[in-house]
Amino acid sequence: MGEFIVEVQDASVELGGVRVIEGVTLQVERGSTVAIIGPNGAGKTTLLRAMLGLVPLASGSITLFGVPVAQLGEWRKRVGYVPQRLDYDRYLPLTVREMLRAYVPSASPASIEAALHEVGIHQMLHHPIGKLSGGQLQRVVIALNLLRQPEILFLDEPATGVDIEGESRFYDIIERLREQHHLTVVLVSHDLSVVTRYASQVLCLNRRLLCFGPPAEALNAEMIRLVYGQEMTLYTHREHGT
Amino acid sequence: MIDILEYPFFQRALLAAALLGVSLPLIGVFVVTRRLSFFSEAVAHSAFTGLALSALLMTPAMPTVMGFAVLVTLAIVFTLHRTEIPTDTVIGVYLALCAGAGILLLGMLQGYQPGLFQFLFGDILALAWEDVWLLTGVCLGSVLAVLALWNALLRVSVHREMAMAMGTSAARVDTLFLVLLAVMVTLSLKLIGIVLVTAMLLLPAAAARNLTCSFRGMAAAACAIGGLSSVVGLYASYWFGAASGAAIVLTAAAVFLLSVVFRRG
Repeated sequence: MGEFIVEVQDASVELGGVRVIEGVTLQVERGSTVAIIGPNGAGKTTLLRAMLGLVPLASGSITLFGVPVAQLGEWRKRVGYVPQRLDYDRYLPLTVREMLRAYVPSASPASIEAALHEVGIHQMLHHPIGKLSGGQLQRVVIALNLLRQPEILFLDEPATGVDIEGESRFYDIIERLREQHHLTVVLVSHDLSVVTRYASQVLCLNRRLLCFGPPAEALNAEMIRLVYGQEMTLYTHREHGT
Repeated sequence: MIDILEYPFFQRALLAAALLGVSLPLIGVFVVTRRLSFFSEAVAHSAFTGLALSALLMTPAMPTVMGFAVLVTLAIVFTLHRTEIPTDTVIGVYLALCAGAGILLLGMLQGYQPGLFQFLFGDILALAWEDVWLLTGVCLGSVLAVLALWNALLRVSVHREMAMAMGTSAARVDTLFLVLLAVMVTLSLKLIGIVLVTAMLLLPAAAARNLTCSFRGMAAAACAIGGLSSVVGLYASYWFGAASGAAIVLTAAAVFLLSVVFRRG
């Protein structure tokens, strides 16, 4: 058993007086990839935001690196976050380089180029971010996170709005970076193929924690029916083996 | 053109116009980016209430107006953080509150209030050297403050939650920027008037946004457009015998209209 980087203990969250997460307990091991799945409105994004300390807990506790999320302070430097989409003004004349420098002021020009190279968009350094596609922009956000050298990366449905090929390429990049940089990854996804292919642990959520474990064990037909409320089956890909 | 420069009142006006023409658009770049133009309008109008309050309490006008504007700013920030109400609605609520309170307080004052109109409509040609030195200090301070907040403001503008997750205190950045904006708006009011303040905050930044491809470029262009519009507008007011504030606003507006025609792809 490795070191736990995230520990959630009986956590509940209320939004507008409604309890959207109820008594969730889990631990995320360092170096693992944990996928949070569940139907719409299950509380996936809220749980991720609670882990980041962006929403207060109604009860229970969440620690990152053994520190309560509300008191992370300097520890936040070790945290990376890729939101679902950047809801910024698309016509803002802000270049990729300027965005990266704003989030990581200490980054040198060489390190910025290297980070963009790692995610395959080094030629876009001086492009306005408003002219990038959804997939390219998400790669900029990954590069931004790489520059900060986090120990844990949270991703909230990061491939939303990206085509299937782009999505696959995006998750391949995440997996490669996880291995190279010894990252712990926590991601929200509704795509079961992503979960089975990339996650070492899957967390099924529908307000309450329904399952938590390796995808092959946790995602049985009964659990999928319970999470998604319909008859669904997982098939193994002939080439990927997942 | 040279003749008018020999007059100290024009020298002071030119210096003040150039200072405000550069420093207000630098703040304006973030006002435009963060869609806070309504906020600067509300703060400018809160001066109305602040002035009535100072006349009633017989306190010095500038500190009272500035103090009241900062108070209104903090009340807006507090309300935004305590409720889910959209930003423009919250600002509108406080704008209405200030206008109502201002009218009520003015009704309690006896007789014509000339100071009030000078404060609200300003006169850049009537500045004393003390005003110019004060303005120089405040403009330098505001430029330094914006540069110090630059990265944090950009982070919060691009994605507030991502900035917060990575350790930026968005609430602190918002409060500092809005208080800075309130101070600059109220300070500029007496010198150049309510119309010119909001115009110099918005017009150069909006024009620069149409013409540039980078944020630094936008900021530099906004300062250049603001500075040039102020100087050209001031000279134009002399040549055409027009009101100085109006001439500066119209010059900046002309640049904005040109930027609409020649905007980048």
